[in-house]
This record gives sequence, structure tokens and C-alpha cells, in this order.
Amino acid sequence: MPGKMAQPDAPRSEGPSHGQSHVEVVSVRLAFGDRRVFDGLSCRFSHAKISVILGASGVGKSTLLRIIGGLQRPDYGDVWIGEQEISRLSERQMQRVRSRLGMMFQGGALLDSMTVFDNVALPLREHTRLSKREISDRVHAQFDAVGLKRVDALLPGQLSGGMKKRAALARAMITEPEILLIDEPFSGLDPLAVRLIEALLVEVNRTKGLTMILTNHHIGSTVRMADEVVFLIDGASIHGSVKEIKESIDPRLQRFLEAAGTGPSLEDAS
Amino acid sequence: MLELVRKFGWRSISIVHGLGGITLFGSRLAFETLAPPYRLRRLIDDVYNTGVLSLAIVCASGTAVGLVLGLQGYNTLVRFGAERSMGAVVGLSLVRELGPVLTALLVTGRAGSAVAAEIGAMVATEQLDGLRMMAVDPIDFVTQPKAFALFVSMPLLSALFIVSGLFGGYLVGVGLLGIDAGTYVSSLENNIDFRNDVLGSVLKSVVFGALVGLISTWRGFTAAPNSEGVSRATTGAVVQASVATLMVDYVITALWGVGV
Repeated sequence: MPGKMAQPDAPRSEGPSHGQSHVEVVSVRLAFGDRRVFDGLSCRFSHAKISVILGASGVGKSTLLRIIGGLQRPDYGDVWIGEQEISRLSERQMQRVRSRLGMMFQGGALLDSMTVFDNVALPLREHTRLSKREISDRVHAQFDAVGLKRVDALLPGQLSGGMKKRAALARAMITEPEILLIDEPFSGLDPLAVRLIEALLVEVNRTKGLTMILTNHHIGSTVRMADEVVFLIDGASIHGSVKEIKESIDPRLQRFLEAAGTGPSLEDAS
Repeated sequence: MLELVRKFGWRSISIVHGLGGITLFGSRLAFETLAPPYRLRRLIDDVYNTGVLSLAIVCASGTAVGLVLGLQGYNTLVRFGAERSMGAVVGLSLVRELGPVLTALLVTGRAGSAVAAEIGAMVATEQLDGLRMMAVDPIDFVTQPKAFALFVSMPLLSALFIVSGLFGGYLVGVGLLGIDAGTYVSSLENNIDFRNDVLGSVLKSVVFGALVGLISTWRGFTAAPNSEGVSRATTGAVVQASVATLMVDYVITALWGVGV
């Protein structure tokens, strides 16, 4: 079954239209000056699944993630996190919503003046009354979960690309969010590191039941780990399972997959 | 012609928008300064970076300015047979004007630019967005301690600049030109008034500290998220803070100093 194309002029939703969806974007329009990024984009991301936002460079994958995280306001349209519409919330109201979210940025976005330990401990120090000992225990448990060792006193600048991604993931997960937004987790990593991060994300998703939304242009890893795919194209989206995307007859999607070298046989990538 | 009007209109709107933005930002900084949590550790770190690390340049510059004031003052005063007033000339020049203004310009170049560049780089590398996603307000966590550090450091650095300048004037006047030490010091004491001169100087340095702190953090905070944006923010912070310092200096001098 081919993926469903979102209609640019779809009516605004009064609430999430899909029982299982955890995050829903409805009829979102966004332009930066003359450049229109989204023109009625609608898509949804299921609860406790790994959803991958796929698309060519500059199509708005990271921007969509920023919209979901409330870092970018759409010009028009709704963004639902569970039962809450967030696109018109004030920054202070948004802070409360963000306590349910975690985000891993493409470059890590670790505070470079603070040690790795302090970076990961920061959300706990800011939002909980845990003792120093408890914070230390939780941070080290998180380090173990992402496979980081002896990095407490290191500054982010002293970490390799893969370690930086792990530290960023540890920080994003330390407050046990419901939804994890992950921007290009595999960019700049060698194939071995890609596999390690991939396995880590899948394990976290399966064990903690997190809703994960990733942007990615790495077809192989998308096929291996995604439960569902949102393919962005021309300011709108095609969404479906990996199988549905694979079997889509949409020529734009086929062209993208062929250009990625995996078009006719996505199975190869897996 | 229409294009010119359009450009002028856009420029005007952008200036008003910028002024509105910096006013709101300044209000937020003031609010975050008064409201808990008080980030003492971060404030101490930032006072160290902006204040303590500026000590050497401020003291060296103050001494150099005092040496020059001593020489120039003596050459002028000796024509009128008033070289005994050298302490007053050096002291009044430093306390009323040169101390607060030159300190503000030095701190802008040394610390204001660093603050703007650091915050701008944090914007470019999504560190501020990272804080937002952790439900941590970047104005409260990053910019407020830096702005407040500049605010509290400025009067202290200005005082040190003045003391260094007085010492430089003393070295030239007493050590080089042979003016009696007691004469230099008593001229200084008798002619500097606490309320009109010293308090005016403190007022200026406090206002300049607030200005430099506000402009430096604002320029960094609103930097475009790329290397050119960081560069523009840094340059803009130095230029705008320096010009604002000189213009506000005139206003304070006109309101506080003239005719007193």
C-alpha cells in the first residue's frame, strides 16, 4: 500500500486524529522570507515507536523536529504533543511541555564550558531536588546505558564524534522523557559507530518504550531501525511503514531512493 | 524613489524592532537578576572572566594615562605658574571623566567582545537551544550572570583605573618633575568633592557597566547561527557599546556634572 500524501489544505484539527499517535503535526505552514519550507504539512508519530523523518538536504527535516520541540513556531497549523496543542504556547508554558521531551542535536549541543558529567547532570540539578550522590548515581547509570566510560571530567571538545553523540543522548534521556527527538544521529560517524548508535537507540526504544522521532538521510539505518517513516518532499509528507515506503509508487520517493543507491532493493540495505 | 522610501521604511522598522527587542531583553535580565534561582557560582566564574582577567589591562592603561596626564598637565600648568595644582588636574580628569569612560571602552574591547562571541558561538552550535530543550531558560542560565558580572565589575575596575592613573600622575609629578609629594596629595584631596566628583564617577561606571553588559549579551544572544553571525555580533557589541558609552557619558555629564 502506498504511503498517504498529506493534503496542503486539510482542515485544522481539533485534536489528535489518530488514537495511537503521540505527536501530530497538522496543516503546518512555514516560510523563511520568500522560501516556503512547509505548505500544509501534516504527519503523525506513533506512541513508543521509532519514526524516521527522511528527505533530501534542505527539505526541512531538522526544522520539523524544531517545530515539534517548540524551538520554531509555524506560521500556521497545529502541533500536538499527546493531548496538548503547543504551537501557540508562551515560552514559559513551553518549558513545562519540554520537561516531557528530550532532544539530541546533530552536533550534540553540549555546553562546551562544562564537563561531560556536569552537562548530563544539568537537567537534574535544575529540575529535581536530588542529592549530589543521587545525581551522580543517575548520571553514571546513564553513562553505562549509552556505553560511556571515564568521561566525567572531560570537556565536550575532548570527545570523539561518536562519544559526543552518546553524551548528548545520555543528557537527552536523563530526565526520562516520553518523547525523544534526535537530529541526524549518524552524521559524521563511521559505519561501525553508526551501527553502535543504531543498536543503542533501538535498545532504548524497546526497553524504555520511548517515542523516538529521528531525522536521517542514512537509508540503511532507516530501514534497519524505523517502525515508521515520514518522507518530506515539496513542503508536504508521505508517511507509512518501511514496507509501505518501499512499495510506494510515488515517483519523487522512488527518485530519492534510487539516488541514495537503494531504490529498487531496500532489502539490500537491511 | 519608491525603492528608497521602501528601504528607509524597512530600516526604520528594523531599528524600532531592535530597540523594542533590547528593551524587553533588558527587562528580562533585570527580572532574572532579582528573581531566584541566584546562580552565584556562575556569577563568580563570570566576574572572574570579565573582571579579574581585565585587571592587568585596566591597571596598565590607567597608569599610562596618569603618566601622560602628569606630563601634559605640568606643561600646561607651568605656563600659568600653577604647577602646584597638578594633583587636582590629574585627579579631576581621572575621577570625573577618563576613569569611567576609558574603563568602559577597555572592558568593552576586552570582556564585552568575549561575552558577545561566546554567547554567539553558543547560538551557532545550538547550545542555547539545547538548554531550552532541557527546560532551562538561556537568558537566566547564560546571559544574566554575564551581564551582571559586567555590571558589578565596571565600578571596581573604574576605581582601579583611577587609582592607577593617580599613581602614574604621582610618578611623573613627584618622581620626575620634582613636585612636592605633600603638595600633590593635598591638591588632590582639597579639590575632589565626594558627592559631585566621586559619586558622579561611580554613577557613570555603574551605568556604563549596565550598558556594556546589556549590549554585549544582546548582540551575542541575537547572533545569526553561523560564523559570520558570531563575527558580526562581536564587532557590533564593541561598536555599539562604545558609541553608547560616549553618548550616555555626555548625557550624564550634562545632567550631573555641569555647573556643580
